[in-house]
Amino acid sequence: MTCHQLEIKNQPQELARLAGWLNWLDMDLGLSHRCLFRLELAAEEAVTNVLEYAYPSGEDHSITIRLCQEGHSITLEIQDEGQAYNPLAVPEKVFATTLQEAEIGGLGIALIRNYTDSLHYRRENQKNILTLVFHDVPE
Amino acid sequence: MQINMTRLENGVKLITLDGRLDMQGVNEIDMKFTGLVSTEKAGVVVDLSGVPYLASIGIRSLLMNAKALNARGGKLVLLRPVPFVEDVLKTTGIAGIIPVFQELDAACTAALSA
Repeated sequence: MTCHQLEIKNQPQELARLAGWLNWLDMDLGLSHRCLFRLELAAEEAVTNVLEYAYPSGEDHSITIRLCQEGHSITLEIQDEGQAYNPLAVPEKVFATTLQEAEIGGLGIALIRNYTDSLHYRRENQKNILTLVFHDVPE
Repeated sequence: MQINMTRLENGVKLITLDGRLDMQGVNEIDMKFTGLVSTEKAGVVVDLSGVPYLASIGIRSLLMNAKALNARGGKLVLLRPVPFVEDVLKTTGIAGIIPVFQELDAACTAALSA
């Protein structure tokens, strides 16, 4: 198993660093285009949630992202020290049938659920730890 | 992230987006996009063929503008998303409420049908 780690700050502009890091790692990981897209999107949505919900008072914190590869499996762990927030507890989004009814929120978690093969949350040592697992199917 | 608008002969506003519609991309174009889309009643076709990546914040921007235009009696439709982006639109249920087309003619007809 090979692992890599990135620390980012809880700032929106850090999302670009995350995307850059994942694309740079992929030169070694050798993921399918589809899997890289899933990984990037789910990671970005999960970190966006941390940025939006974890630190209501807006102080500076770091978010630790750890990626491990074993065979065709990628495990991404996102750790933050913000207030407890379990995205898995958010009810499944019910899709609107008309534009008027459509609500703006809840899209990120719908994407995370759809683009991961499994998803786990735990609260440990005052930290939120979200684990996203992807199984790559080579193209 | 680039945004351009062309007024077609049939009256449709064709808006072309180029680049990643993530947080940074949306920050770069959001004001201009809203200015182009939701200030007058019109048929709007948004060409997504130059957008390789769409995050929830990008969907939010599309949805808010489609709603605002709808409230003015206009209509926004999407044109030619790449397969990954189309998948995101389906996954989030957006493809069911903002019509998606592969052909410009069909997209214009739908945009003008409001």
